[in-house]
Amino acid sequence: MLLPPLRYLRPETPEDAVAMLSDVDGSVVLAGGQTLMNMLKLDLAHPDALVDVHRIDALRGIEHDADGTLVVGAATTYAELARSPEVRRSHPAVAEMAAGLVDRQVRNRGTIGGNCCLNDPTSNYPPLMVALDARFRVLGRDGERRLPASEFFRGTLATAVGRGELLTTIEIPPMPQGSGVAHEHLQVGADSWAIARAVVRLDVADGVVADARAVLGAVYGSPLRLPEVERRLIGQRATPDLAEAADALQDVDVQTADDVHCSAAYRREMAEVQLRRAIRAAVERSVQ
Amino acid sequence: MTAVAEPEVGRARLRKEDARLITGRTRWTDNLSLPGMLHLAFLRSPVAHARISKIDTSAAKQKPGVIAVVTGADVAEEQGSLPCAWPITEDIKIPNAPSLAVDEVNFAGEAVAAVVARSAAEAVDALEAIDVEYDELPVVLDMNEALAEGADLVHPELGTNKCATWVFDSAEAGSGGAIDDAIAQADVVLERTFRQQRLIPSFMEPRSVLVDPTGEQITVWSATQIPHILKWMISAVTGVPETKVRVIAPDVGGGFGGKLQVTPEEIITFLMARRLGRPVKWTETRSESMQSAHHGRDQIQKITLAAASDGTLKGLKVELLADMGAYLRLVTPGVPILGAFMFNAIYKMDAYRFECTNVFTNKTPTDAYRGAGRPEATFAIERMMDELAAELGRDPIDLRRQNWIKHEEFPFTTVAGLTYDSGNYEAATAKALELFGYDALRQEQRERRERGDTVQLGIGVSTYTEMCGLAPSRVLGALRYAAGGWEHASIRMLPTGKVEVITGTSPHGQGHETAWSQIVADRLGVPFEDVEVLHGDTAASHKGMDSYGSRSLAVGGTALVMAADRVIEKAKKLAAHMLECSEDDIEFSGGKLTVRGTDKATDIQSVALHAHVAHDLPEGMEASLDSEATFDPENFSYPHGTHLCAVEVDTETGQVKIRSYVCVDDVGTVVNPLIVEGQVHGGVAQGIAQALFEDAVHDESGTLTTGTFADYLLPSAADLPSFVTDRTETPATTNPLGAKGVGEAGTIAATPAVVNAIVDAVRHLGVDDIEMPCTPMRVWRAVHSGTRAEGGPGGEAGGGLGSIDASGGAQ
Ligand SMILES: Cc1cc2nc3c(=O)[nH]c(=O)nc-3n(C[C@H](O)[C@H](O)[C@H](O)COP(=O)(O)OP(=O)(O)OC[C@H]3O[C@@H](n4cnc5c(N)ncnc54)[C@H](O)[C@@H]3O)c2cc1C
Repeated sequence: MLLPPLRYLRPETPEDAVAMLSDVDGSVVLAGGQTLMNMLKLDLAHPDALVDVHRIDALRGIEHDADGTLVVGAATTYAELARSPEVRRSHPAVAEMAAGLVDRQVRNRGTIGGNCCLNDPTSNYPPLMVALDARFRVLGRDGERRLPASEFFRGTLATAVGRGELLTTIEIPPMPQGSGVAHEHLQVGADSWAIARAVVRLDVADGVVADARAVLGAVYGSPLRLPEVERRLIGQRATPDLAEAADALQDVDVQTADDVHCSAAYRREMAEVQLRRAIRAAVERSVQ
Repeated sequence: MTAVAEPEVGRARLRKEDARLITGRTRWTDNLSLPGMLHLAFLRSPVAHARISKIDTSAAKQKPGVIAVVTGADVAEEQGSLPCAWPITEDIKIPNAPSLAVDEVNFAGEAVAAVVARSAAEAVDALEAIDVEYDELPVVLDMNEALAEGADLVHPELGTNKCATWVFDSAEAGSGGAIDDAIAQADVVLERTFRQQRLIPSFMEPRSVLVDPTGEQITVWSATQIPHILKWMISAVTGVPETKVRVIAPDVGGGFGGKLQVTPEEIITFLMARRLGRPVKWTETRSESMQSAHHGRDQIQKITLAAASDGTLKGLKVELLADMGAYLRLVTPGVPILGAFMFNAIYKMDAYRFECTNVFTNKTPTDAYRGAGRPEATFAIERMMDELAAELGRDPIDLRRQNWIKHEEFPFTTVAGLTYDSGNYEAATAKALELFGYDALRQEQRERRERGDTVQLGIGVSTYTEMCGLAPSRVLGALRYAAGGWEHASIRMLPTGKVEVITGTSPHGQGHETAWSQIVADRLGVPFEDVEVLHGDTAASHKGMDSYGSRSLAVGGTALVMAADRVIEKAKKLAAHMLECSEDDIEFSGGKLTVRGTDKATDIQSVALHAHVAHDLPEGMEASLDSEATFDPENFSYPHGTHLCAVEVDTETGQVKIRSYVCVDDVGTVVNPLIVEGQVHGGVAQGIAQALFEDAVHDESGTLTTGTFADYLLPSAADLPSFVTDRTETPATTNPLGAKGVGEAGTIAATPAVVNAIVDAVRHLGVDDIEMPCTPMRVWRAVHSGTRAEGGPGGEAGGGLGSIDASGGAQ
C-alpha cells in the first residue's frame, strides 16, 4: 500500500485538536511530518486519522516571559528558531541546534515539538532540553499538565504525552549568568543520523562551576543524564582540564545499538569523545 | 546575421534545456498520461533465493480496479530472456533471465508478478492480495565462497557459480613481456587486495515506462539512456518486428549507467499493454529502484605491482573477482573488461596481466555505473602507486612523474595494447600542484604529525586517464560485444532558415541540446537560438547508439560535424548556381557564401529556402540541403588529469573532512566550459561518495539492508568542499572536434584521491589501507589497531537506534 486510507483533520485551536485526539479512534498528531510521513510510507505506523496541528497559531511562535523564560510553541519550525534573533541572544544553543539540523527542507517543516514528542534516540533536541531544564506543557481533555524534561522523556520513542493529549508549549528557563552550553555530535554524513551526541551545560560563577548538566543522546531510552560526571564538574574551576570528568562514563552502562554504519561498542567510545569535547567547549563558552 | 560573431564553441553558455528540466514542467515519462491508461505494479520477492512453490492471484484479481494479474508462468511464452549483449568469452555461462520469475527467484527484489489496475494505488494495493509461497534455497552472497568446491549454486543448471574468466596477457598479446619474469626480476613486489563495494546508481528520476499499443507502431516511452538499443532489444526479446516498435526517451532525469539497461519492467509493461490493448504505465518507487534496478562496482581486486628499487615500474598483475549478481543484464559481464586496459593507466611498464573471474551471487544484477570498469582500475593503480611511494620512501608525485608517459612520447602504445593519441600529464600535474599549494600542505602535515595533533592532515593524489568515447566498432567486435560503437546525426535545413539537428545520442541531463546547438551554430554560421536539437525518439532519430561511456560528444558530436559539412557542400553547389559562378569559387564562412574575390554573396538561410522551394535547382540536385552522417571512431579518446585532495582525519573519532579538492582535467577541446565544469563537479561528488559514504549492504539472508537513503548515504553539499577545477587542453587527434569526453572523468579520478589522502593522513600510525567507504568507524579502527580496517557491523546489524533505521524496525 502506498498510504493506507486515513482521515485528515485540521483543528483551529489546541482545544479542538485535543477534542479530536480524544474522540477519533486511532488519531495521532501530525506536526512537520518529517518523521511521521516517512513512517507511514514505510508501513511502520498505522494511524486511522491525522490531526494536523502545524497551522494552529497558538502552537507557533517564540516569546520571552518577564523573567526571561523562552516560551516556544510546539509547532514552531527549526527554521523559525534558527533565524530568531531573540532566541540567538537568549538561548543560542537552541537556535544553533536548529540551524544545524539536516537540510533546508527538513528545517522548513520539522518542529521542535515533533522532535521532542518523537523522542527518537538519535534526535537532536531531547538531550538539549534535559540539559536546559526545559518544561513541557501538555494539554488534555482535563486541562494542562506541566512536566520537567526528566519526566517528559519516558524511553525510546516514548514520552509523557498520553492518548488524547497534545504538547503545546516548551518553556526553557533563562540561562544563568555565565553559563556555557555546548553540543557535540558525530554523524557519517550531514544528512545521516547521529552516532553519538553529548550536551553539556556549565553555569560558571567567579570561575567556578556552580551547576552542571551532562547529557548523552544516541542511546537507548531517553537522553541519559550523567550525575556522576556532573558531580565531578560542580565546584571545580572552569578550565579545559574539566574534560577529565568524562572518565566517569566508564562506570556507566551506556545502552546503545549496532547499525549499518557502526557498532554499539564504537558508539560508546564516541559518546565519551563527544562528552569530553562538549565539556571543553562549554568551558570555553561560559563567561568567567 | 552574417556578421562575424564570437565563436560558439568555447562559450560558457547557460544550458537551454535547464528551465524545463529543473522546474519539472516537461515530459518526464511519469508526467505523461494517455486516454484509457492503466497502471502496473510489480510484486517482488522478499527473499534472495527460493523456489516458488505456489502463487495464487485469484484474490488479487477481485480487488477494486484490477484489470489483470500475471505471473511468470502466465507470460512464459512471450517474455523470452532478457538480453546480455556482451558474452565476453566463448564459454561464458548465461542463465535464462525471465522478466517475471517463473519457478525460482534469485535475488531479493526480483519481480514475481504484475498487477494492472485502473489507478496506480489500486495496482499497488492488489499486490498484497497475491499469495506466494517460497521454498527457500541456500543463498550465495560471498564471491570467494561461491567459487569454493561444493558451494551452493545460484543457477544449479549451470553447474557452477563461475560465469566466465577473461584474460589479457601482454606476453600473449605481444604488447609487453611476461608478468612472471617481471615479478621475478623486480626489487620490490607489493601485493594488496582492495574491495570495490557495491554501489547503487541513484539517478534522480525513478525509472518509468509507458506503452501505448493503440497505433500501428507500439509506442514505448521510457526513462532510459538507450532508446535505440531498447527498440532493437524489445523486438529481439518479444519477437515483435522492429518496424512495429517506436521508443521515445523523453526528458530523462539522470542515469549514470543505471538506465543503460533493458529492464524486466519495460518488457512486462510492453507485453501487458499489448495483451490488454490499452496504454499501461509503470513508475517505480525509490525503494524498488534501490532494490531492483541494477547496481554497480562490486569487485575484489588482488593487485601485484613489481618495481625496481629506483621506483621504475616493471609489471602489474591484476586478479579480479567481479560480482555479476543473479543474472547477466545488458553489459553486466563486460563492465570489468572495460577496466582491463586501464589498470596500467598512464604508466610505462614491461609486463601486464589481467585476469577477471565473473561470479554469480544471489544479489541484484550489477551493470554499468558511471565509469564502468575504469574507476575500479584507476582506484587500484593509484592506490598502489601511493603504496609503492610509501614503501620506497618517495614522494608520490615524484614516483608518478618518473613512470608516466612523457608528453613528447605521444602517440604511445601501452602495455595493454591501446594507443593513447595525446596527453600532457606534466602540464596538468604542474597546474594542479600550484593551485593546491602542495608544499605548504606537506609542511602543515609534518607539523601536525610532530605535535601529535588530534587532527591529522593527509594528501591524496590521483593522476588518471581513461578510455572513453565508446567505441571503435571493430574493437567492440573483437571484444565480443554484440553491437557497434558508431554514432549518427542528421541536419534538417528548414525553409525559414532554422535548423533541426537530430542526434542518435540520448541525453539524460548532460546538456546536449546546448552543446550540439553551439557546434552547429558555428559550423553553419547560424544563430545559436535557431538550432533545435531533437533526440530520443526513434521515429525522429532513426539511427543511434545512445549515451554512455562519455561517448556523446567525441562520437556523436563528430557525426554532427560531418553532417554539417555535407550541408555546406550541398549549399555551395546551390549557391554557385544562384550566384552564377563555379562551385570552386564559392567560399563559405560564418553562414555566408561568397563568390571569391567579389562582394557577390548569399547566406545559408537563403540557400536553404531556395533548395526547399526548388523552383530553380542545378541539374541533378535534389530539393534538399539536409544531410546525415555516421561516424565510427578509429580509436578511443583518453581524457586525463590530476586530482589532489587534502583531508583532515580526526583520530579520536575517525571522521574525515575534505579540506580542499583541486582537479585539473584535460578533456581535450571544450565546447562549453560550464557544462564541463558541471560534469566534473557531479563526477567528483560521486567519486567522493564511493570513498566516504555509499555502500549497498546485504544481510546474511541476502536482503538489502541499505534500502533507503536513510541508510544508503549520498553526500549533500554540506558534506563536500568547494571544488577548485581547472583544465589543460590537449586536443584529441582522433576526431575533428578534438574532444575527449568528460562524463565519467571526475568519478574515475576522485575515489582514489580521497582514499589516498586518508591513508596518507594516518600512515605514520601504521595504517596502509582502509576499506571503502571510509566511514568514521572504519577509519577509527584503522587508527586504533594500526592496520587496515575492513568490514563493519554491516550485514549483521540488528535494529538500529533510530525510528527509521537500518533494519526498518520501529522500536
Ligand atoms: C532526512 C531526514 C534526516 C533527519 N535527521 C534528523 C537528525 O539528524 N536529528 C533529528 O533530531 N531529527 C532528524 N530528522 C527528523 C526531523 O527532525 C523531524 O522533523 C522530527 O523528528 C519530527 O518533527 P516533525 O515536526 O516533523 O514531527 P512529525 O513527523 O509530524 O511527528 C513526529 C511524532 O511526534 C508526534 N507529535 C508531533 N507534534 C506533536 C505535538 N505537538 N504533541 C504531541 N505529539 C506530537 C507525532 O504524532 C509523531 O508521532 C530527520 C528527518 C529527515 C527527513
